[in-house]
Amino acid sequence: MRRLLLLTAMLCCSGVAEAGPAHVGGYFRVAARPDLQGGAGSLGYWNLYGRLMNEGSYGMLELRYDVLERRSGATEPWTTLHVRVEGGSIANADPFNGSLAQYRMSQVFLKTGNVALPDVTWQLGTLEYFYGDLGLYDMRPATIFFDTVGISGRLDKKNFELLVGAGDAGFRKRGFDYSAIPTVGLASRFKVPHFEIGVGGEVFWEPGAQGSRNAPYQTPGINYEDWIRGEVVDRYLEEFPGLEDFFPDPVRRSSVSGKAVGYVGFGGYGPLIWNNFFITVGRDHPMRFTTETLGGRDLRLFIHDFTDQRYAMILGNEMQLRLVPDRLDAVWSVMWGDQWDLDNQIVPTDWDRTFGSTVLRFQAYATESVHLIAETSGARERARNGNAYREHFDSIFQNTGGQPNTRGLEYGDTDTRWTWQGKAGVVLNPLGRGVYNRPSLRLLYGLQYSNVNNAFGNAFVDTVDQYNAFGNVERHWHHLGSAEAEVWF
Amino acid sequence: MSPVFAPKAVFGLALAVVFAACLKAGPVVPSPERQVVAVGTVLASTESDALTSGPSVVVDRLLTEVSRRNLNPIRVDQAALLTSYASHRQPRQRTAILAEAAIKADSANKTSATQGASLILLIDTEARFDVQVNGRYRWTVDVDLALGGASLPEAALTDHFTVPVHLVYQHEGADRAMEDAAPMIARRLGLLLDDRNRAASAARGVQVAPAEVIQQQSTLPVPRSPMPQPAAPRPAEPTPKPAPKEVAPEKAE
Repeated sequence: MRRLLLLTAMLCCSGVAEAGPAHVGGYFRVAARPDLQGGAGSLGYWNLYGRLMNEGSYGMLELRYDVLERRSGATEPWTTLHVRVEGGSIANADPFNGSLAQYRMSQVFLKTGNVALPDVTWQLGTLEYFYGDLGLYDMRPATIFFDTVGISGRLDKKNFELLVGAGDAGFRKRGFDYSAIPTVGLASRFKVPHFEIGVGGEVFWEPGAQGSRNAPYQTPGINYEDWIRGEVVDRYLEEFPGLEDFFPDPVRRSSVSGKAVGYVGFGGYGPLIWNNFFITVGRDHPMRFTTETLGGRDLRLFIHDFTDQRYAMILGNEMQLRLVPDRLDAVWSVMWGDQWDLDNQIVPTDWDRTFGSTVLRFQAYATESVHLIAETSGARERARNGNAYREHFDSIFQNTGGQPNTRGLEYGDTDTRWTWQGKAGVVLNPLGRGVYNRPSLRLLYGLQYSNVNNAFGNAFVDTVDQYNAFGNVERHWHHLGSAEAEVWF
Repeated sequence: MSPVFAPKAVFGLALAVVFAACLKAGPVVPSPERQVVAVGTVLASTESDALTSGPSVVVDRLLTEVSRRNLNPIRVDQAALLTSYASHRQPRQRTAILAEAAIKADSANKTSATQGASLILLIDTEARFDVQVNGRYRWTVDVDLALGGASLPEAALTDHFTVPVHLVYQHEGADRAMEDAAPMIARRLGLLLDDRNRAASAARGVQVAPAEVIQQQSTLPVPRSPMPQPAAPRPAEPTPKPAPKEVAPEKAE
């Protein structure tokens, strides 16, 4: 601890700080997508079908201030401060109209090098680290320390890289109901020309602090199905009428969760520019409580034991290809995920499903800056515990076995959602060729087919109530045009 | 989309692409006379101790910017230059070293090395890994440009700027960062060369002939020189002169 304080003091209170330049970078994405079919401006539900036309507006500003400027070939200490503000709203382009309430200071950290140990970069603050990106999905499965604020040290050698960190994830995971969640993790990477491999992981531990109402607990004697239906209090009062004041007290628990991540990258062979493969296997952190009403007051039902066996495995691969030099590039991504919840065998949820998807994008270059883009994707999502999707507007009448069940835990009439998307258009890239070159100005047309009815964000009334004044519609094809800009700077 | 509208949209799109494909590079301001330029390039990186000349694809692109303007770029002995640059970090020092190398080679043998360079051009870059940011690897490339007469390097025109680039893969290092920064560096280098050529034309009383600009596929008006015109201007030269065998060093820029 003393060493940590000493390092902190060195980082923050250096008396020879030179005021270096401040650099502002960032990212903006804004789109105009008037949806004449009643949607909210995205082609499908989420970026499992490819991020293109499925993501909304976004803004991010990144500030770097050189407290002690880093110079090439120099061995003296250097220190930089990084601040990042980001969020998903831009005026006139989304329902929040650019509200700053949608933005947050997502990263603040101090990096310093040539301090105490050679070839080691220290980072103090937020610690997020990732092995790479599935660019077509805008997903980073092999990420650690996303939730953590703390300190890390990263050793960089020519063929080896090792990052070790520790901190606290309590605020990210619990917010106002903060409870300390100490976190430790590491990430390693071996690299030689044309090939890289990495493994890493992190562990979260939330100890049960007696007396803290924010610590993990389990309310004893309650049934999973009653909890899912929101009927715990009803069942209790049926069994113990008049004993509202004797509802059982929660029992203390401690929570452990974590994940392991892996990465393999290779490329530079023939048309293959690079291939990234990621895998993550993990156990989600248990939830804390939900609320029901007992005797006119809110009653917390602590649910550690109902949510402590949620596991997930996600695999993703993306390869970037140069098919015809200076004329045609392609990127092909595949993703597969399996989430299983051993506590839940009765209700379809996002913690108990499988999903798979593939996205293929071609980008042809008419000139250095005028490109043509075409992308297609196919995806399958399957819920483990029964029907989760509606294929028709009157699916309520087509529940399992043809019998509507008003108390059923299922939602629709199928457990599987199939989605196909195709997108094409013109891209203007002022800075030249490259699938991931930015800035990009894009004029796109997108088409989606799904077995699920109205499979896109919308404001439709989906009740089949006789008093529904707006009517229902059966729609499986979705068309959308888009004029959008995306820039890194 | 209605079936009638679709073919029109596709036709319009195709027309736009064909039109865009016919666009040519923008206008440049040519040098009033063909001169040899001794060019030095250097790439440093915070991730490595070694200095390099930069990726050849970038250097070639930058030299093209020079040769488009009726100048003849010649690279000086890069190995010797990098050795000297290792102990001299300031752009002004490096510019002087480049000028010295150009003059030395010039006086030794005007038909080799710099071929009697009258101008020097230093492209001094430093790539620096910045931060992982939302799936990308942000680098910045600091660039110092210096363009002047070999005999008077302290009067060189200079430009300093920083180009941010966002690489997709971690293994892509300083070379790739410079490749991504190349369009911006080429643009700023072109502007610097245009400034120099405009001033040189004015000093020699040579107006930048519209014909020369038209030759470069331009539809834009020729910028007016801010320099005062000499009393007895020489007539404009519609076509570039062949490269002189011996070119006297410029006195000043």
